[in-house]
Amino acid sequence: IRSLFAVSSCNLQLPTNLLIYCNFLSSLVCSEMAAISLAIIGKNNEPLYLREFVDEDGGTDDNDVDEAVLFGMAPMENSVEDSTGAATSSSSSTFDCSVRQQFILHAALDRFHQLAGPPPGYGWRSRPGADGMFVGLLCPVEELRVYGYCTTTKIKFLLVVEDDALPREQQINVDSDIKALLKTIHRLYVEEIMNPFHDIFSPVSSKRFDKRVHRQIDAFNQSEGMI
Amino acid sequence: MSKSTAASNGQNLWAKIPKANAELFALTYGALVTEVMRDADGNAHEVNEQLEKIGYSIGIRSVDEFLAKSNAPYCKSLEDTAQVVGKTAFRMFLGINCDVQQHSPTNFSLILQENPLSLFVELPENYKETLQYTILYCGVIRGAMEMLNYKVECSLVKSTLRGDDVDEIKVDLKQVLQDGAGDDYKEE
Repeated sequence: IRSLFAVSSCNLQLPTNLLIYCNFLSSLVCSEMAAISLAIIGKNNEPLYLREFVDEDGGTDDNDVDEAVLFGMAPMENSVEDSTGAATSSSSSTFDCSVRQQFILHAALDRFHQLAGPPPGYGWRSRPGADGMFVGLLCPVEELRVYGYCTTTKIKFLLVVEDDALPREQQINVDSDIKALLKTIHRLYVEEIMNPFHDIFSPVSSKRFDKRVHRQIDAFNQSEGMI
Repeated sequence: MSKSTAASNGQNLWAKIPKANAELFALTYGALVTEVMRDADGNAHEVNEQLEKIGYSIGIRSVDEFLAKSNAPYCKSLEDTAQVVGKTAFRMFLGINCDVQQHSPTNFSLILQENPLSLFVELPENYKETLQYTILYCGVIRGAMEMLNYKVECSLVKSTLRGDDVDEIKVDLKQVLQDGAGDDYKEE
């Protein structure tokens, strides 16, 4: 919890008093948690599926323009003013995911690689079963935490969750809930690649998969969080 | 043949016959369809034709197996045949229960509530209307009936892959063929 405060007080302009108060309150109440975005990365680190589920700022498509500039990415004037709509016209325009989330997921992927990649990686290797494949918390970013899950075929699942760091006993329950969610998403992904018309080397473009994942995430958010 | 005996016959046969893994079956068929698609360069009509022909060659062979293994009694009319095909044959080979709807003395429909061939399948947008994925069944029925001297036309009316809630195969009797001695023996 202390590290979370340290990170947040550096980066955010919000009064730290407010943050302390909120965290205190939420640790008294039930855990407040919502899955914000999901990334599925292939074995050559190519993106297969990137999706944002909640507009945590309550924000809209306009934010993408500012965010792109904010993160030092050249504002892509042409694509932003595209008629297809700002939400999908970030630089990797095929994914329905805001720029900020993509940035966070990229950073988390670096950490993933550090943990589970080739030497001098930390030597984490995936074992059979959801327990073996769950990497755990990759990194906290402001109020978000990124969890990772890596299959034996090196397909990586990254889940960005908005939650508060809890005392150890409660955190274990939270971790196991997230593990269960990632296991379900893994199963949905497997069912999708069994589709004979799906090219496993290209991004997932199935609406059916999208709908199913969305449903799982909504169920998770409702059972865990207040969003 | 009454409906209940056809169904119970089918069930008994299904219990005795050796079984295969449903996922393996569906994946094999999926691989077959995508390969045929690649050969036909994505022309959906050509693919449909090919799949129907494949079904036809399966049908002409499996009808003998069916008649040998089952105790299907003599069918006096197309209604009886429809019951045997829908309740006994489909149950024996695929393990699924099929509803039979008789539209007229020469026309019936088979309604499949579940389809083992289309497990996991989702048709891509550009093929949703044109590709008839389970047209294999139509070929099988056509082949089987032809060996019994019924010339039928089968078509896939409804398909779960296109958004309908069931699969429906319509079978239309065109002609009852006469046993011929073959072209070589035709009298001039």
